[in-house]
Amino acid sequence: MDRPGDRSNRARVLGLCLAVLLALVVVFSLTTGASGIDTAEIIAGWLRGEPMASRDAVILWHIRVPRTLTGIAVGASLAVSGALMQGLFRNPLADPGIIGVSAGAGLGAIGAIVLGGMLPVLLRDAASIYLVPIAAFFGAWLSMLLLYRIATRQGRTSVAMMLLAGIALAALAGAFSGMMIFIADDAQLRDLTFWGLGSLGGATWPKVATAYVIMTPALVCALFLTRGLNGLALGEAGAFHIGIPVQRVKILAILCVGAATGAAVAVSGGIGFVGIVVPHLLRLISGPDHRFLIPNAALLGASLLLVADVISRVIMAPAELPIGIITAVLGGPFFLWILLRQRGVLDM
Amino acid sequence: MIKARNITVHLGKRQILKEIGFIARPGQVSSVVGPNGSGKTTLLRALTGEIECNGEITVNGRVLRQIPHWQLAGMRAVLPQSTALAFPFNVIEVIHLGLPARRSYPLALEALSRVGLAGYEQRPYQELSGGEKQRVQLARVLAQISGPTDQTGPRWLFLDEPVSALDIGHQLQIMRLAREFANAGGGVVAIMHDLNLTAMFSDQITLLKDGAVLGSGRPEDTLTDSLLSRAYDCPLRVGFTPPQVPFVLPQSAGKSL
Repeated sequence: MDRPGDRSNRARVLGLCLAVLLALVVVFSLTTGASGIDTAEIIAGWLRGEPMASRDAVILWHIRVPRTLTGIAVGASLAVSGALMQGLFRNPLADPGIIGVSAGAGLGAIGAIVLGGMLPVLLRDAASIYLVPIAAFFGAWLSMLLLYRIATRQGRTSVAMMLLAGIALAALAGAFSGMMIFIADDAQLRDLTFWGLGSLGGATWPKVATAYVIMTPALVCALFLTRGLNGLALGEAGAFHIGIPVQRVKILAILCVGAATGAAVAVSGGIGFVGIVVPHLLRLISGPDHRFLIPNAALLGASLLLVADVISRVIMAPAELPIGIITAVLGGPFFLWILLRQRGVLDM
Repeated sequence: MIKARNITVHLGKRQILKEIGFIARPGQVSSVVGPNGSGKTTLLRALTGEIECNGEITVNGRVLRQIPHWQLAGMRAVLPQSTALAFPFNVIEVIHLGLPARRSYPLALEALSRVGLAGYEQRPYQELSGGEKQRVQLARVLAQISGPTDQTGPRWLFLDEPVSALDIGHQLQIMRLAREFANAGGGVVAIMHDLNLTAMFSDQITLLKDGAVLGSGRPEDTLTDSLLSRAYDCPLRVGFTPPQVPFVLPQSAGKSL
C-alpha cells in the first residue's frame, strides 16, 4: 500500500544498508594498518587449523581486533549519546560535549594522569592500567549527577537550566584541568596531549571488556527510550499529554548518556563531532523518528569512527595521527554547514 | 463529565487558584475566560493532570489522580496555543506522535482529512504556516483520542488558547472543528482569550479573576457589563447580535470604573 509521508520503510532499508556498511568497514579496518600482514591468509590458515605465523597473528589478535572492537563501541556510543541529548533537549545542536559531561570525564582522566603518582602504592597497583578510564568514567558520572541536581526542582528537570549549568561546569572542569596541566611534568604532558586529541591506539583486550560492560547496557537502554524521545519533541507538557512517563524517560536518557560518554572518553579521549554529525545526516535521509534514528546512529557512528581510525593509521604511516584531529577536520566544516543551512530556522 | 471541586494550586508561595469549582459536560463547549494572570492556564494544567493540586477532580466518574498516564492519554487530549518542533518531522509523522503506543496510518490519515489538510502528508511541518500548523496539531490530538465518544464514555478535548495566534479565518475554522467535536458527543474545555469567539462557540463560560471564579453559566449570564468590568478592571459594555449572542467591543469601554 502506498503511504505518502511514511518514511519508516526507508529507515529500515537504511538500517540494513548501514549494517552491511559496518561489516565492510570492519573487514577494512582489520586488513589495513602500518604493517603489511595478509589478514585473509591468517584467517584462512586459522580455519584450516594451521599454526599461525606468530608475528602476524599477534598483530591481528592483540592490536587490530581490540582496536576495531573499541572503535565500534566508541563510535556507536558517541553517536547514540548525541541523538539522545538532542532528543532530550529538543535541540539538534546539543551534544554531550555541550553540557559538560565530556569536560567532566576529561578532568577525571587528566587528574588520574597527573596525580596518579600520589596515590598509595597499593591502590595504584590495584587500579593499574584502569586508573585513567575509571577516573574519566567517574568524572562523567559526577558532572552528570551534579547537573541533574542543579537543574531538577520538585521533580522537574529544566532543560535551559541544565544547558546553562553545563556551560558553567565545563568552564570549571576546564580550569581544574588547566591547573593539573600546569603542575604536570614533561612526560605527563605528552600523555595528556595524546589522550586529549583522542586515539584508539591504546586499545587492549581488558579495555575492550571495560568499554563493552559499560556501553552495552547504555545502548540497549537507549532503544527503549525511542517512543519517549519522539513524544518529547512536543515539549514536556505535550509528551505528558500523550501518555509518556516524562520524568522516567529523562532520567534514563541522562544515565545512558553519562555511561556511554564517560566510557567513550575514558577509552579514547576527546573525539568530537560524531555525536552531532551522525544523527543529523540520518535525519536528512530518513527523518527524525527516534525508533530508527537511535539504532541507525549506532551503526553509522561505528562505521564513521572506524573509517576515521583507518585514515589516522595510514595517512602518516608508520606514525599515527590522533583520530580526534580527523573527526574534527571532517566534522567541523560539517557542523558549520548545518548551522548555515539552519540559519533561517534557528532563532539564536 | 469532568467535575472539579475546591481546586487550590500553589506555585512556590503564591496561591494561583483558590477553591475553584468547575464542571464540563459532554456535548458542550465549556470555556474559561479571564484577564492575564487570572489562573486560566493553571486551571487547565490541573484539569489535565499536568500539575498537582488540592481538591478533587473526576473525569467520567473516575478520580483523575488514579488514572494511569497512558490511559488518560486515550481519554483526553490537549491542543496548546502553538507547537514548535525542533526536528524535521513531516505532517503525517507529527500526527503519529499522538499515537505512541498504537500507530495507525489510516487513523492518522482520517484525522488529517478531518481538519481539511488531506494531501499534506509529506509536507515538512516546519515549513507550514501558523494556521496549517495548528490544524495539523488539532489532527494529532483528534487522532490521539480517536473520536468524540465510545462505549467507555465521552472523550475530552482541551484547548489552551487555541486560536490566539491565528487570523480570523483560521480562528473560525479551528473553533468550528471544536464545536463539531462537541456536537458529536465529545466534551470540549477551552481556555479562551477572545471574548467574542467565546460567546459564539461556548455553551458554558467560567469567568476567572485572581485565581477565583467570578461567574459561571451560559454566555448571556456570564458576559455581562458588571461581571466583565470587574474582571478586566475597566468599564465594558456588552452588545448583542441576533439571536442573542453577546459581543464586546473595545470601542465601547469607558475610561475608568
